[in-house]
Amino acid sequence: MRLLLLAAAAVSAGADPGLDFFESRIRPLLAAKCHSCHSAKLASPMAGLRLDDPAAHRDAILTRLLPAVRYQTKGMPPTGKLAPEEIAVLAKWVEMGAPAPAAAAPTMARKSTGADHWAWQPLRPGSGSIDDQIRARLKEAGLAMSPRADPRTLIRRASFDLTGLPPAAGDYALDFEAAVDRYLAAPQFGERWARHWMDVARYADTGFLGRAFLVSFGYRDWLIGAFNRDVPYDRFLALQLAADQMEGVSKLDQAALGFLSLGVNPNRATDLPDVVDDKIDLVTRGLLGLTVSCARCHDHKFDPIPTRDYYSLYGIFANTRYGGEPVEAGPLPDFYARRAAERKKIRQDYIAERLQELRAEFRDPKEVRRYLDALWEGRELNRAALENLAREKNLNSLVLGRWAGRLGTLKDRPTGGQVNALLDGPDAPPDVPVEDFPSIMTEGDANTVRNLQWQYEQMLNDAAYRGSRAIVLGANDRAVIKPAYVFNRGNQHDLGEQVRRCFPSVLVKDQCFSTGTGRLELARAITGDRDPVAARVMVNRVWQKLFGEGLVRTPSDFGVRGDPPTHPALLDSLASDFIRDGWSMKRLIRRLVLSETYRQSSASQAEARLKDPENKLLWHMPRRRLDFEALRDAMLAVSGRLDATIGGQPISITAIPADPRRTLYAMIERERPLALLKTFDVADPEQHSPQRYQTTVPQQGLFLLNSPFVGEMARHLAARAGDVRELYQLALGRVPSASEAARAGMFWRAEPAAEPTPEKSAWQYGTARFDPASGRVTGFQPFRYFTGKAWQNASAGLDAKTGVARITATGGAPGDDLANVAVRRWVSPIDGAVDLDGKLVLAVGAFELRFKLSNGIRGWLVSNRRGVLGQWRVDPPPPPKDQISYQANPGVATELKSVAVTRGEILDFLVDSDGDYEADDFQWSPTLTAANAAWNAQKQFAGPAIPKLTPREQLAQVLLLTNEFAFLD
Amino acid sequence: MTLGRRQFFQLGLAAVLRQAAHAGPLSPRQPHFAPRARRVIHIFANGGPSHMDTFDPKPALAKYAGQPLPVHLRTERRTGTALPSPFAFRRFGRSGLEISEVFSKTGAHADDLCVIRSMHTEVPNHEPSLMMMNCGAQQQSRPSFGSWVVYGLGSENQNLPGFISLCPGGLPVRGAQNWKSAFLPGAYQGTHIDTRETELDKLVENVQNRLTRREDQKKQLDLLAAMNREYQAPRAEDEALESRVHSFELAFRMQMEAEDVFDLSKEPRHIRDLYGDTLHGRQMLMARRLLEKGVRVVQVWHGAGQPWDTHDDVAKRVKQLAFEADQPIAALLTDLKQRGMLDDTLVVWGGEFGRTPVVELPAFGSNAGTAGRDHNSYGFSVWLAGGGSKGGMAYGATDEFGFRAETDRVHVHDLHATLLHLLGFDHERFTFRYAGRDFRLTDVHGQVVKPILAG
Repeated sequence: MRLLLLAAAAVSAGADPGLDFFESRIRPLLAAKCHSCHSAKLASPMAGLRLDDPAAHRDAILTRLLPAVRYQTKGMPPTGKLAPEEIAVLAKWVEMGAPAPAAAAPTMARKSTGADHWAWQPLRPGSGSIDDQIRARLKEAGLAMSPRADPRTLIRRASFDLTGLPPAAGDYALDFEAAVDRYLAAPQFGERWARHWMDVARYADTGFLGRAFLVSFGYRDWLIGAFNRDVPYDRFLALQLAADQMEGVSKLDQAALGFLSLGVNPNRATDLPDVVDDKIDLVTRGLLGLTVSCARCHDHKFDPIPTRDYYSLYGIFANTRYGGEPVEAGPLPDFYARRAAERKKIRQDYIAERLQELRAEFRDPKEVRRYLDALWEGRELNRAALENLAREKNLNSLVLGRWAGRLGTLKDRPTGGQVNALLDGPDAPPDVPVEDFPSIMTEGDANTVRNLQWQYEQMLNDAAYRGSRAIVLGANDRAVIKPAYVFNRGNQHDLGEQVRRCFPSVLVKDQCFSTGTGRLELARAITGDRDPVAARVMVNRVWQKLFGEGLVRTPSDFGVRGDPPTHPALLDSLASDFIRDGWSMKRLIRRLVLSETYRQSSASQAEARLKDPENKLLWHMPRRRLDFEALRDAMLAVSGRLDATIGGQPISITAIPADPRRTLYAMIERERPLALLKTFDVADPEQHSPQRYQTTVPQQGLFLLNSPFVGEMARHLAARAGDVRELYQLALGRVPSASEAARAGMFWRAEPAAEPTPEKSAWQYGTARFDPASGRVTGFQPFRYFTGKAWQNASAGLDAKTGVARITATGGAPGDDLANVAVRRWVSPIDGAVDLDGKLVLAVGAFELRFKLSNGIRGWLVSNRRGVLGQWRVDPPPPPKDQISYQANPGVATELKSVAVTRGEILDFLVDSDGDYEADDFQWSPTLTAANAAWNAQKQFAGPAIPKLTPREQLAQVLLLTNEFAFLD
Repeated sequence: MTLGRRQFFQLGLAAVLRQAAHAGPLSPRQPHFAPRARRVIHIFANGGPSHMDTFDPKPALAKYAGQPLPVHLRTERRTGTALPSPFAFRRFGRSGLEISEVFSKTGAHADDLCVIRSMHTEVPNHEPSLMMMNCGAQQQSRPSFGSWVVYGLGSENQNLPGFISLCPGGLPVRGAQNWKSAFLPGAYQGTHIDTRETELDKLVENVQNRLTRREDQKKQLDLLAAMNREYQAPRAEDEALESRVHSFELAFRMQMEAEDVFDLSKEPRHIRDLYGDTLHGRQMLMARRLLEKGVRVVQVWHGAGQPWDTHDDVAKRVKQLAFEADQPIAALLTDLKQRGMLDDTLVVWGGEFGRTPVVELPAFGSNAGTAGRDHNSYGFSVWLAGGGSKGGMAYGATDEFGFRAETDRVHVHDLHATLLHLLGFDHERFTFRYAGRDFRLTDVHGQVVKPILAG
């Protein structure tokens, strides 16, 4: 009604006394006192309030204006209170209902309709090559391109840009074009560019509560392969969005769906909107340069994206199951297949049992009465209001809905007979079907079911982390596609209009989807010929990786508030060539790298710098700092340590000694980000990352100066070099100048300071084979890595042979079987007798105990001279009744008196899994006491000793720290 | 290009990148208007402290002991009858503020405390409520309060992180999420320090140099500086090169600064005695030393996990927890005051929510059935001291039983708006543009609670 009146008022302005009052008294006042902060003059008006468009902000004006100007709330204007008569005028206006005309045309135009915005137009390629177009713009500005960089610089630039690694020594002899082709063909190309895409895809190996995703790295490895095979970008996207719906796609290629499935994965059914928002944001910002997430609660403030469009996409992604049933791409080893099946059954049994219990609760006559009372009270309410009522009364809304559905519209209270008939009939309202269990389960059930699902997935992951490629994390459509509704103001309990599943209308009007969720149709539409924005977004991302900044400097926001392109025609030329080339990413990259624009020197020019300080016109190549991955990989490479293996389970980059694999394999934990990665601005895995920050903080310096990693690299680098000259060659790819050689020579020739030999520890940690019959321990192998907390064989995850075996200060985990037992070894420094104290405890929680996941463990004390000295078995205790805590587990005392030992005798504290390694973490930190000495396993637990660097190694470290090493000219 | 202060807070990534390249991301900055507080210490009683046993007396509960309450809101777990506080409340100070006997040392500072008794939040679950209290949003990834503040103000000490979270024995629930920088640069992320550790390099990563002696490292840095100078000569205009050179100098100094700041033996005996030679006493003293050194925001967590999550045995556990915290908190207030720091140091105490006035019923995996309380998001207490907050007052009130905030309700967003106000920010103008939006700590909510601001 009000809207209609306003419309009428707008056309008849001048005849309306309210509008007259506004125009004569109010508008000048607002303009003088308020517009400086509350108008379209500002990109983002304060508090989002625009007093130059009062009609659109009437609610705020009616409720908030007077208290604010009266200084009861905000104290507006902040510069000083209005005069009393001015406040009176405003009060009168508010009393009239704040009449104002609908905004005049100029202010309305602030919200783009999309018709005129550059990003949503058809491609208008410029004429001429990349270089022609760059030169033309430079010429207009009275500037010119910089000369070519020298060949050495170019090779280094291309090597890092294409492979993320420094050039091999021989590469400097190559012709530039030959070098580029070599790098494009190298498998390291895929590694480098996969990592770029992982920023877009907010890649993580672990998600909610730090639990590992199912075979996360299958997706990462798929990306590496896809870049190396040059899978065309349209297909690359289609596979990531809808491999499950495509014909002739191998099961291994289903791994592409990790793009969707490795996302936000919280716990509760009510979190679905956040799960879906994660996908919408990923697809719209990541692939389309649209900030659609803004439209979750209200129409986008600046771009023409209505909430309807958001919920159109919602319909697609809410009906998708992320990593539901794992895809079996090959045969799973028997052991894991059997265990996985067992665990699946535990989960099903739990749900069946709880379902029966909950149904019985809902059937309780008192409960039934509560539901019926609520229905009676809410007999006139619509569905959404009924849901609210259920929440208020602490009733389950699904069950209430089932009662409502069966009883229909109530005119009278239902009779006992009616109710009993329903309770006795088929599908009685309290008898919730199993598929709706998630809607009735308690918080405790949710945790338990989630944990059981994880236990199941963990068996599959155990196989994958040991090298099986049988399992792939996919995604698929739900069996029943539910309709989507707008959530009013983003509130999932407040349903608005129903919407179809469609492409964002700002890009293509009326393109709606009907096959399943429509993911494949969405993918086709994104790279379809009706809309070129996806091509623009991708060529801009590639440009940004090669030139430091994109042609559009807001790579994931091509909306009206993003930066416009510096070279719109060039962007369109690149996009159109990209499409014409069959969406080949390698060809796109090759074209850019072979351009003269890319080959420019990075040297500065005073005049150009003055005219175009941000280098928007590309009068030179910007100097760039290596990102963390390239920096760490380069150190591994020049020190001769780099392990070139492609793909596989994630690693730790903080373990000692250094895991020599490339940095893109670092375990990425969404909820437990490694401080080191944060320190060096590696993309935050919580959401799509448009581009990396580049900050300089002293913690970076601390890592470079003091970390065991850099020390280790310096040691290896120094050991490789015969002299200073060679050291420079290896580290910087050049020979030192005479003065450099002189300075460096002082380090090179200096005598290493004498170091006190560190005291030898009595303790060692490793795995061995144990034969209980003979009591012999053979094949002791020290663990390879120290993680800061544990000694183990894989720097992260599982070792293919020794599995989870590890030793910590207080305990550890046994290996799979007697061929791989975890050993805490003590080598006697004395002749005499020791008393042994300690307690062996099975360190598993109430959950593992309740579901009988552990079969117990065995502990042994074995001497290499006297055989088995002690043996203990720890059975899983009954589950605790109260707190979830393993400290409550009793364990067994491991005490021996007066054990005779001789110098050099080995006592091994072994723990074996008794045939089943699952849920076998243990605590056991023995102490040994002799007459004059004592050894405490916990207190004396330590990582590897870190020797001081020699002067040569110090010199090597300095070279790794130079700006020359860290920057690309 | 230099940015005016208003623009700095309204631009996004590109501006921050440019600014960071010039002066370092932690260089000190001025807020919107003159601040009352220049630094913040947030004492986080994680797990959800029981307000009716600490700062919100509810004598009416005694009348209903063992009886159902006339008000019974929905609780997360099953709850039963009224559970009166086992503790006596006393009036403290000239203000006569009522505080539980378990916090009687803190109570001695009543005239400096501003207890907000009408806090409320969204849900009675730890994870989302921790996110709400720390980051202003339950689910979505948003920067933490500390990250916002350091983004806004920088830090007074370039040799230490600007935002430090002290937590003994590990991490609270949701770990580093509680101090994340999310879409703000990593430099604004909180740095966690496990205060149960005593070795320096377990306190701050890589801060201890095991590779070289200090004098050797100095020689290395001299050589590095010489090489970088030669490299820079033909590239003179590139500030990024310069700032990386500078960062090594800072790192070198940080080693010494950290060694110094974490060495509590540098404090005189009477100060160490004031805090007490306990885990919590030492941690609080460490916090004060950090604040004094110019660290902008310090969080002090009670412990790993959720120690204040007293589903069981309130009489024993709340007493124990308060015993651990009381003397260090009182010492901090005394110490800040005697150093003249309380005026511009904002002290915040509280948890992510409160607890129910009714007893939690026994259930497997939840509790042992020994008179504990369930989570309560409808009402709880936090208190402020110093930094421009009004001392000696209680603001707002819960209902007769402490179940729900009734009078002058303060949402977590309002608390955030108020804290930012005291730090000199208009929370509605303190934004960061990301993903097409101007984000705020308070999202689209929050009102400054004016009555609790000191005149």
